[in-house]
Amino acid sequence: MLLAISYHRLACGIGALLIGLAFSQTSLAANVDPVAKGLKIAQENDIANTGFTTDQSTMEMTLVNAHGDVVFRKMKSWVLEGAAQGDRSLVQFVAPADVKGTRMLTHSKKVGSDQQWLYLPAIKRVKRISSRNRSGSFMGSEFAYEDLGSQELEKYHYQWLADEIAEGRALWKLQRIPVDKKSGYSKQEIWIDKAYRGAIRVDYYDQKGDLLKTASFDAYKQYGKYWRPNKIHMRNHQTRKQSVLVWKDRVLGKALEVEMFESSSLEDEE
Amino acid sequence: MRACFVLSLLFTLFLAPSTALTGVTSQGELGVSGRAFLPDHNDDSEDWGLTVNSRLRADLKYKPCRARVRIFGRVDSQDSERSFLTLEEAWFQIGNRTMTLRAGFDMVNWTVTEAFHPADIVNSRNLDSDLQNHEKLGEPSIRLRWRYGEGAWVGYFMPTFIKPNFPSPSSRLNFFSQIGGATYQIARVHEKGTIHSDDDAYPWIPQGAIRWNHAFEDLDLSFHVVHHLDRSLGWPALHANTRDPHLLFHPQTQIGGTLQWAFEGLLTKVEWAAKRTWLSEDKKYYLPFGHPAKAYGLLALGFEYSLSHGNGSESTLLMEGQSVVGISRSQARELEIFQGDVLLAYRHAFNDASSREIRLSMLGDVEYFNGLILGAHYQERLWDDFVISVDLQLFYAEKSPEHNEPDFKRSLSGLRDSDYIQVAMTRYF
Repeated sequence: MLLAISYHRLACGIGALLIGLAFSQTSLAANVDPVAKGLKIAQENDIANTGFTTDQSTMEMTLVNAHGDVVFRKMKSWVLEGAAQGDRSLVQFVAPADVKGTRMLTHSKKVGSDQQWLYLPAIKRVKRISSRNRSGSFMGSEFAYEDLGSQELEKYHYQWLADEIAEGRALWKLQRIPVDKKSGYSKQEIWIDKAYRGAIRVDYYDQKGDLLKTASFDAYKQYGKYWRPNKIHMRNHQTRKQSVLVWKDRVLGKALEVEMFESSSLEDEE
Repeated sequence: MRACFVLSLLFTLFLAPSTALTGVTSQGELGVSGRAFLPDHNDDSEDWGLTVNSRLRADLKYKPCRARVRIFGRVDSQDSERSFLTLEEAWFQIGNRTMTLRAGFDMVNWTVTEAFHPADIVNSRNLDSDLQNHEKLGEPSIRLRWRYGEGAWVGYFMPTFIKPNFPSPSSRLNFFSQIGGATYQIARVHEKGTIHSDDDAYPWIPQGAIRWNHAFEDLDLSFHVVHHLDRSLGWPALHANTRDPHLLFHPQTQIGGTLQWAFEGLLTKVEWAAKRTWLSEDKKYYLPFGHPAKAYGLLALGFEYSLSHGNGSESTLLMEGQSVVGISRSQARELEIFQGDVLLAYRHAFNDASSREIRLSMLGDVEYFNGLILGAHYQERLWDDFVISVDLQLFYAEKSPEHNEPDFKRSLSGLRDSDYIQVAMTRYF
């Protein structure tokens, strides 16, 4: 009997506790503006990832089609962190051989269109390209240019969705909606690791609102105070194609010549 | 020629594995292509051809020095005169990011447009190649380049004249057939006004160019001044004694420039040139069509609009036009093939693993409506190292005028009924 009463009290107590918690969560959630919280998290992440100055690496990309056929791409990448403006990046293609030596320079803008140039070594031509079509596929992969370009804070509207725990890691789940109407996405849902201050998963929704792709970020490694993923696995749910991008020999903070990120240096061919 | 080409190929193939050497890198391509023309029932011309071509490149980097050799060669099974070997680049350079001095054979690209290139005049061309983008021949030069921020100044000194490579009389793409179809000799007008045939001319011809370019946010601008022996198509002349046909090349000063402006998804491109030609009164040569115009201008304007599709593919619409300005329309037709022409093109890049791409184009004379080129191109990558392409070109043009007709005109008439299909496979390494 005593045991029964105790059980009952315990049950009532737990019930009361759960109800209380639920109420407190509801009242807490009611007090939280998810847009303001989402923006605050994004701003804090942006600050936490600011100051790396440079990032250089070799990138290897594996493309897998729905039948399992595999092809490879390889490129070198240099990024120069921007202060007032966005970052500057230079990508030089290494493989396949027909595009070897082709270089793409991007000056990201926090507001407005990025500036982009392409250097074609076969004809030694520097060509200005329109950066408006950021939803185009990058080198035939499941990555779009906008997935790999500089993720400036100002390019999205944010909303906090939830705090979650997955595989023992504390995460924020945010929704971000591209400011650019020409984006290939209606929205993205992004899970951010609170310790890494970086994404571990992004779900991309197409303009119809259907789930298009999922990117899984892996192989996080610490470089000084910064964490960086060294592998992204992108799965396209609609075409069943996949692409895996792996960073090798990554170095952060090494001094790079500012001049190599100027369009007038493109024909120098590193 | 063939021996040189094969030796060069072997040299670079041996060099290719040496990429392990510090500072030495190499790359190249080896291709086979077959081309078949609509039969013209003329025994003197070749209706088909099978070619092997290769481009080989080796770079040496050892700061502050750099050197490069890039050779392009082609062997044609049917038309031996189409076989061709050129040093596109063979230079040595010393300098840093700010200032570089380069000497040797160099290839220069100043164009911003796809079909018409009034600003891009430094290199001589292989005129037996793509009409809208002729292959370039390496230019012996000394180059001094000063780079600052988003801009640069560059100066060239060109000590000699590399004559263009003309199509052979048996080539179906010999657009010189409209002025006789003969094998022309080359003659040059010297600064003092005398004319010398290429055989007896002194090779020293000092020429120079200066160019400035700068990127302003969404706008790229460039200006240039060039004084050289004009490397374009040449002007018909006859030797006064032998009556041998010659193509006469004149000294010319050109001021020109380019503009590229990216606004939203639209890319606007402008190329312009103002030319002043130095004529000769030398009586050793007779000019059946008189002198070319002394001064005229060329203006090319282009628009490129790209849009991405939901599946990651991309379409590009292109419209370009070129007009000759400052002279009569009749004179314009004597000087330029594209004197009032428009290109409309559509490119669809599938952006897939095979890099499949389709291009459709239509280039026509909108002034006289007497010439039209329809083109279709498809290419895709096979495995990682091979690219296969198929090209179809259809030519519609007015009938060629008779030889020595007094109202000589340049037009597409020499290409009338030269429709062809070409299949090519290239291995890149």
